[in-house]
Amino acid sequence: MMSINRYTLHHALAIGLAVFSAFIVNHYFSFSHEIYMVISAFFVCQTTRGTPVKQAMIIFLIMVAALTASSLLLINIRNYQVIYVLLAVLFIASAYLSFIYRPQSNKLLFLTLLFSMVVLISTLSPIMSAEFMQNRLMDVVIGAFIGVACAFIVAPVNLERELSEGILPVLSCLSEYTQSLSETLLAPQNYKANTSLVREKVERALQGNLGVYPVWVYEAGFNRGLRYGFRFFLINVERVTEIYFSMDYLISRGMDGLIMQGLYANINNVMQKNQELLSILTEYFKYKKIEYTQSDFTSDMAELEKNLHQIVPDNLEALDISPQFLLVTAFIRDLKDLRGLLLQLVMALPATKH
Amino acid sequence: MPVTKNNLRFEMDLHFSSLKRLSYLILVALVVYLIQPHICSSQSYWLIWSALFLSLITNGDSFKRRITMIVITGLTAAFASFIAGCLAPIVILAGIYLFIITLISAVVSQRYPRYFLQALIINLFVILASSALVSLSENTERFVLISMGVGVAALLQIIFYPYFVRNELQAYVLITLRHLKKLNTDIFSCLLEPEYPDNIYLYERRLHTSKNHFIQALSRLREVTQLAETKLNNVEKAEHELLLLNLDLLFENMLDYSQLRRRVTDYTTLSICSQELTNISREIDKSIYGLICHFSDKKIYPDTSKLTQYVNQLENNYHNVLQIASREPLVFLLFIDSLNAFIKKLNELYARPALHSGNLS
Repeated sequence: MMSINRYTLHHALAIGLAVFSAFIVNHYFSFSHEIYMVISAFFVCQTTRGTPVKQAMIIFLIMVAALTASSLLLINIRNYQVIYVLLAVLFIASAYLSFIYRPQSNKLLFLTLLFSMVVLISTLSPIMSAEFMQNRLMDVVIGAFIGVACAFIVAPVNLERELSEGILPVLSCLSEYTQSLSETLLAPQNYKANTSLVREKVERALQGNLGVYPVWVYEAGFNRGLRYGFRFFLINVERVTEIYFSMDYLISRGMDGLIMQGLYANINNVMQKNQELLSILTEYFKYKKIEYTQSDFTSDMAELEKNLHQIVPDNLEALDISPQFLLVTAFIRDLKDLRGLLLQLVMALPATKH
Repeated sequence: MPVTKNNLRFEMDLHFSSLKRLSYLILVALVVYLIQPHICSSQSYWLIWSALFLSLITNGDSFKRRITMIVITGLTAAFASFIAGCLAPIVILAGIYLFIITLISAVVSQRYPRYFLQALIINLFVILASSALVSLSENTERFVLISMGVGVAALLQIIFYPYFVRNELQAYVLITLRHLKKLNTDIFSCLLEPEYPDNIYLYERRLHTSKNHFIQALSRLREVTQLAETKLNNVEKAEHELLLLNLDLLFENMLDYSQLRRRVTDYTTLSICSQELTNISREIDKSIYGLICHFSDKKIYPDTSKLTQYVNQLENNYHNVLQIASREPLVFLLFIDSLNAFIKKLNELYARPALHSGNLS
């Protein structure tokens, strides 16, 4: 069964209501007696969560430019063949541009095609009033206003909830990834079977174009009050994923079995503590509560480093001449960096009221 | 980043592989232009709208699926527009109908983002069809014209039939490698630009965008490779699987050496080796371009000798200067090791036979 999240439903209701309202208003108060009010309301609602007003303004301005261009075309050029050629060239250019720069987000695709689509529609559709340019522009203004108003009334976005829903899939995939990397360290011959599927899951969870990952946090003009906190979390979660990919890569290079045997117990312990930190983050983003724990998140790392220095020399010259020592040192360094990042994220969680 | 000769050549290679798409778009516009004068209808612009908008659809992992996608979208738009035309005289009913269609389209495009364009086209057609009161015969004409547009857009897809999947495969290999090059450029800009420590967000945002683009392209390449496997023999299948694995490994390797940007606590240390880093960045770019040529079976013989030379220069700098001057010399050692592993992987890829030209052309 198709699962629909709250934002999807609210957003769909907002667009539906905007189109309905614009249609009714258009029927009684349209200046041009055409459908531009509805088209305008529909198009300005094609926004993402981060900066809906700014995006709506951009869409509105593109529509105004397109209508103006179309009107000037109709006024100044009487030859239908010339008009058609110009329309075709414009449309083909924007379609081709969107194709060669694929894959694109839906937002970018829409903006690339918007101007040519509106010019195509407005140039070819029958004109129903004198002074059609001014009338169409008035209708577009009213439609844009209706669209933005409906979006704010029906679908005000709870950005904190949207961020949580966007980050949760990444955190849960990272938990699985931790498990899979631990198993791979124990049985490196199963590297491909263990990790490739989980890695693909993480990659999928990071893709903004699939509609879940909150890439809208990065948009220029995002809510000033929430910007710093949200971006801090997102950047650090991405740094965490980078470290996981880096660890996966180091394992794929084939670490010395004997060295890893000596360190496996400590590494496993560190990874379990990392799992605990990930589950604290997951709990917070799911239920908005912090799971307090008595676990010690420093001594396991210190123990691992102490053990590492017993097996692998810690002077740079010795590391330089042995690729295996360097590989293991790189892996442990990744674990240390990962621990640092996870602790930063957990400590940055706002304290909840009891 | 200044446009280099290699970048221009690379972009031209990619654009050449998209010429089929350009030809298709021109053909659709031309056919519609030739047909339209013979249609005696005041609604003939619907043929143009239908054919051109439906020609934008590029979904569909196989030739049959793409045609199906265009036909289903077009016919759904035609039927939905017909109903809108019938309901247009009753304002409130037409409004409710518009509301329902818009709601469904919005839910579909949010829930299944890859069908965003199809949902947009259907919704737009329904809105346009609600605009004016038309008679039943005009409404029927409109339905027929939209269907003719579907026919034009679908039939001309025949241009893509020869080597459909293989062309898509080659294009996505090139696109994936293009994004890998961009990722490398963004990683090294964090190491080379003195403003990085004061504008971490700005640079991390660029890195995020590059990583996202690469991951998207690689996911798509994975899908197309799975589809292509039905048409390839076992050896070719294994080669394509290995290509995917190696692209993933190159990406992870880049993320491994990109860790230097976080581990260095004193960014002024990087200015000691900025020349070496600039050279390495440039050579990695060239090496990835070499990989593209290799996969395109071009008679260009790439090698990593210059890259190796510059990494060795960095290593000398490390031994003579960085080991003493840097607060954390170990992080530079790990960085150099990662670069050496990257060179080794590139050499392995160059040594493999190119994906046979018969498979990709």
